[in-house]
Amino acid sequence: MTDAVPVGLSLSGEQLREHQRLSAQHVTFSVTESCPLRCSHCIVATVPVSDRSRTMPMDRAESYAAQMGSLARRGVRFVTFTGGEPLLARRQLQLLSHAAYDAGIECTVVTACHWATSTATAEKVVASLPAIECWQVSTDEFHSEYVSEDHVVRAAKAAAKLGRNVMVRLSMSLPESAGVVSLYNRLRDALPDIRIFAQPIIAMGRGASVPSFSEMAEVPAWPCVPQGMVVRFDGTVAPCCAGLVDTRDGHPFQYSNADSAGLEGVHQEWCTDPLLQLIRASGFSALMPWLREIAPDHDVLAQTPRHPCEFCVRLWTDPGVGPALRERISRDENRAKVALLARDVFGETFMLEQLAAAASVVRTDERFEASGP
Amino acid sequence: MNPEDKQVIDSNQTTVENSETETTDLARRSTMKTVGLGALGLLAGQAASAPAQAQNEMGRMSAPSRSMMSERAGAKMFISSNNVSDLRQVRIAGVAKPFEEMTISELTQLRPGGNAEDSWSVEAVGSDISVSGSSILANLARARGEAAVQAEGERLAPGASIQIKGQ
Repeated sequence: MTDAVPVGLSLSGEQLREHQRLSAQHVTFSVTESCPLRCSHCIVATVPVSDRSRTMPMDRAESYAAQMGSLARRGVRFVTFTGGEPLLARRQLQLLSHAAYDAGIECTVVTACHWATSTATAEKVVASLPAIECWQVSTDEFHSEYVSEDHVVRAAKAAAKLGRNVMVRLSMSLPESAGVVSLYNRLRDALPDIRIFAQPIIAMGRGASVPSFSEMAEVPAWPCVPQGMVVRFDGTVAPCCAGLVDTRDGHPFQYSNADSAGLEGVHQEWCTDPLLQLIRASGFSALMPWLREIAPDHDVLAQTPRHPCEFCVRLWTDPGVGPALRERISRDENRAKVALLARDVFGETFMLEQLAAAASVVRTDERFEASGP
Repeated sequence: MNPEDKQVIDSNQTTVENSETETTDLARRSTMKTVGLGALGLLAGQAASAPAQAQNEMGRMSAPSRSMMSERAGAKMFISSNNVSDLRQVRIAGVAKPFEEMTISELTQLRPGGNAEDSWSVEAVGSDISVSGSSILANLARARGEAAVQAEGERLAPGASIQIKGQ
């Protein structure tokens, strides 16, 4: 029994760097925004199960499945399926996870377990997705209104029994309530061999309306941990699996649709976005002098959230900030500096390779000019 | 305060002064060089080597010049402490500089938790992926990336010797 829930991951500087490095090797697919739950803290504005308009069509899933090999060749090693409730799109899950598995990519699913109505059903569902190695079952006080914790325990046990890697995810308001401590202890007792990861609710999406403690600081306390790009059910791409996962407009991280650019193409856009790679490598501190110049009255300068996701979401509420920062960071000398930074911090050369390719084009043009028409 | 402590503080202040003057100048020059030479300069690691070059030159400074620089730095900021976290504030001086004037080294030092002794609680990380095993994958990614850079360099400048920082 504990009277305090351990919150978050405590990482050393080097572990944080490793964790961030994985963002370029990890892609999330939001296969549906339908969900049987209507939790008030969710960062995604989900729709009811009856609404299939926001579920990935099979032909799109087939197209993405055919591209898993090219993602793997770019260094992608992990794929996560989320939503909504991804188990509502089980055929798409099967197709995509099999293709990812065949390409050598490890698959994770994040589910609220409404489907684990009995032990037999839970085992049957897990068994129907043999290519999904990691099962992250989520629950909290908000989920409990719609899905009992018995479902979660059944799902976790079924996945563990079938040899899968299982983790329970628990979201919570801060300061923690007696209810969430009690829930944590019950889960601990029911699933003694399974890891439970607790994370606080962040003030974004529907979660912004949930009372929770937001700490302020001089600058955000750690750099952006985007967890890789998110390909939504309709092919649009979010830069992260956190604050901007469900925000399509009004921020500067706008990438092509995966249907037109392909998964490889949008992954390249993500990996070579200088603004994203700067806040990933150095954090938001590097942007502060520009921000003071561009928007000296911005409220994040007066009250700076310690959490980078909360800072990020609030930063783009001023519509002028994104384009102004994008314009500055896109200048050649600044892009070059971010390219070197990404190489030094993460050992990634996507941006350097892009610059090298652009330079080779320039050199070819120069040769042409030198030799004359 | 014992004399050894004072030496440490002076050394830190020298770093501040250097990071705001000579290192910045070198970085500017290297940036100009980078832009002028294009990607071949980047591949050869010229820009990346500039801060290291500046640091080497700092290391070779004579005692009088260190002292003079300490006096100048002291006019702007004086941090006296044996506490590592206090001394770390010296690096925050970089935050006051626009991105254009910051070196790669300074940008790297803006990372919180960049030091082995730090521990950061990343509360809201989705934890979709585990840290375990990532070192192997990271090394694979690094090897793949560096091989690509070497190949591109060879294509652009056959026979040129390309040094990648860290190798």
